[in-house]
Amino acid sequence: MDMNNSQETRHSLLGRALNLDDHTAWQELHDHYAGFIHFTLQRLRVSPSDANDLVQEVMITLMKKLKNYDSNKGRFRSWLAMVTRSTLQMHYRKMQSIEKKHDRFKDHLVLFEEQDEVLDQIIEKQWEAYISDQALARVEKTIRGRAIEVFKLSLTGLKAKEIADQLGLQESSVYNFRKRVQRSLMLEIRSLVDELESY
Amino acid sequence: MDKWGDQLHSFFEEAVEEETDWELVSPSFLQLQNVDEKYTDPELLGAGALKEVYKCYDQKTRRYIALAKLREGLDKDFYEAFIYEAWLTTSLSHPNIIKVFEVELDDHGRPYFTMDLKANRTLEQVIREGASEEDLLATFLTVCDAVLYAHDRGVIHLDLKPCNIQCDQFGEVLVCDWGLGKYMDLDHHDSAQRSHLEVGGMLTMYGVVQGTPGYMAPEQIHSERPKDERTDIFSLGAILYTIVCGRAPFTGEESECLEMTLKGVSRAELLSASIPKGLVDICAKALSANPEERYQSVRELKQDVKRYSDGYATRAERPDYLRFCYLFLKRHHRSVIALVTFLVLLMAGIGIQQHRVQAIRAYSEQQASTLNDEVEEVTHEYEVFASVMADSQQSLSIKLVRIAHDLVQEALGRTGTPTGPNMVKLLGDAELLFEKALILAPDNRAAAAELFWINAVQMDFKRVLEIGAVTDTAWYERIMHVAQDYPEFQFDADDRPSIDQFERVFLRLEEVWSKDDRTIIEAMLFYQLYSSESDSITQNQCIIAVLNYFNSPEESYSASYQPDSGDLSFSSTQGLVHTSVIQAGSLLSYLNLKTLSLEFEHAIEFDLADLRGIQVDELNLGGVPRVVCTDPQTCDSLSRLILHDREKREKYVDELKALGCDFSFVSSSL
Repeated sequence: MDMNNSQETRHSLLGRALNLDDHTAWQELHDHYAGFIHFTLQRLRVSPSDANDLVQEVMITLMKKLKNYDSNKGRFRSWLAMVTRSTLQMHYRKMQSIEKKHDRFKDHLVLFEEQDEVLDQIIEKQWEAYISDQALARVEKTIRGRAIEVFKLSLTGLKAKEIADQLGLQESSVYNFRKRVQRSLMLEIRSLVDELESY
Repeated sequence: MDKWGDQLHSFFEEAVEEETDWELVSPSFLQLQNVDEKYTDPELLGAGALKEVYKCYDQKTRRYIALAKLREGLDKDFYEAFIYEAWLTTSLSHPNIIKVFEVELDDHGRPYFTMDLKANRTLEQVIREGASEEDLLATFLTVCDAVLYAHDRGVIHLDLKPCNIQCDQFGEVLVCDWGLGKYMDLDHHDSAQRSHLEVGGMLTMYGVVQGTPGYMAPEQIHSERPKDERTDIFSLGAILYTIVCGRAPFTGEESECLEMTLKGVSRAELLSASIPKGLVDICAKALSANPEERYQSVRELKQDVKRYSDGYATRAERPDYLRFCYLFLKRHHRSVIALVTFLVLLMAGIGIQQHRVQAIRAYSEQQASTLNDEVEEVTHEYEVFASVMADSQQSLSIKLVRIAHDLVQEALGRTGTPTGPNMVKLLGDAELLFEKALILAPDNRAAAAELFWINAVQMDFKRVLEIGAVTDTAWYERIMHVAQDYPEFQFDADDRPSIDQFERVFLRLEEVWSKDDRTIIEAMLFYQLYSSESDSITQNQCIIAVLNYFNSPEESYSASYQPDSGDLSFSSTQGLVHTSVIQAGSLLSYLNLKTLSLEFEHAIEFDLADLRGIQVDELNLGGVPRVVCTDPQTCDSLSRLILHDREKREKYVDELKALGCDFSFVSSSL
């Protein structure tokens, strides 16, 4: 039957920002990407004082270029990694030429030593890690207590039996708790990816 | 940040991987996500003037629903009426009125709405299938409930007929198709929107009949006549007619049918139709051509039909005395026979006085509960009963009190000492009979007095206060004092006070009580002991509470009781404990004592004969200064007696020795 338009087409955050130019969507998107870049820079061991400026710069480029993203040419997160990497590289090259102080950027040589594709992959992985981290934070808001405790212990590599002993639980409960958190975590990852990468 | 590292990250891969894996995580989510057509598998259920109703599968909620849409070819002029129906239905929330889930616009911008689809048949089909009159009347009463609800909300249906009533196999009934429905209050806030929907408006303009010939009321034929609840009542009458006759009251060609409708149905016609006599008047009244002559509310109609289906004379039938008696006998032949038999028995019993008590007693033990059931039924009918046999109530009430009084006597035993656990049941039965007697004759003071007493014994002080002091004697006042202090105490045979509550009552009794009224105190204690499944410790605490009651608080006195060995000892600095023991005599016999030890300081003679009725193996009177025995025979159950040395040479010792009692002598007390 032709009764199906009643459900409003659901827009992702990215979709809302790009297609509808929704202000709050832009704001939310901005917060997410900025969070991700902070996260990445931290892992690339950029000093916090430099990081703030860098985040600003990458964000400006990202927001400018977002409208040019073409989903036919590849995954969003690959595109995101590429834009981020090239912006960072440009920033450092510029700083180098201005300050001529090679030493200060010695730590960030990784940004220049590796091939671009490898760097892109590294940054893409950071994005994935960032999303997973955010997803876990969301899960923690809805599932509390023992289940989360069990899951976190399992992340540290402990076996179910060891977790059971440590928390005084049945081994079967450990499996159940872990499965429950895993399930919600994956749903959250999925929904974050939908929100932030598709439109 | 790296706390969870790769472990956490590994879930990312899995989460965004192909759907086969995703299906494992949440197959339902995936399915829900992939629904692109919400309603599938349409199947036409029926079509009316305005709309078509389909059975559809709702992919998102995964159930079948009914979907109503405007008929093809009906343009925007009809949208209003269509949406109005949906909204009118959503404004009604009743288990027997169809529920509308959503009201929406389809891809072409045409309105549709979805509804409950539970029932698989309509009342029309059920009638055709030949369901029993009893079931059909039950369905009819449910329909009345739904219509009554709608009327209370100001909504009239205006198209009630068997095919608009859904019935399922579990007895669920739904009143559907509110397409002609409207708000009775035309000044309703948004009546402007509706005005063109009123009779004479759009629908008749387009040739749509306002109602269904055969079920519609005469005022629906003339559009200018006002319609209200009574219009629906006419249709309900027609449905009732169809239920009992198997066909609609007006049939034939439309014009013929409408003509008959205008004329109405006469009582004579109804009598010639195959309608049960009790329903003729109901149908005639509901189907009156003049709304003023119909039932004025669905409530009245429903009550009459209910009365009929319960076997009562209906209000419309204006019952005469004989018919009433006939119905009464028909309904209660068992209880009437029992009652008559019983009354005959009672008369015979009064005639032969010496047999009476025995007859009643035998009757009371075996028949108390049966009698109670019968009385229950009779009382249920007493309102009706009263209009026919007003004075019989009074005499029945008095007779009930007599029977119940015998039960009380039985419960308390011949000596006034409750004799066993049977007491609780007997008092319970007696209470019920007294209550019935009081209902039959609210001014029956004997019943009130007995109820007062029984409820006091049970410690149902709430009821005691309700009954109030029957006379202004001090006895009632004393109980009222205690009851007023504990008005929340509402105990019965199954729900007993705690030991703490029990003690509190006795402490209070001690303050107001006259010590010589032993019967009720004992009854209270024994009621507590026999009705509660309390352990021996709790029971003993109750007994001690009562023993304390029998002894003045200022008296230096102590009692101890060892339930395991059956040893009870009293000691007092005064001789008054003497009286206490005797006062409490029947309590002591309840305890199954083995040893009783007494110790007084005052030089008062203690007469062994006062222990009459107390069963003990061993009696220790080593602490009693002076013992006498005026009647050695009373101590024949004693096997061992301990006395003070100085008693050795007393004459009664030899007398007791002759009865076979062992003696020991002690130089000091206990």
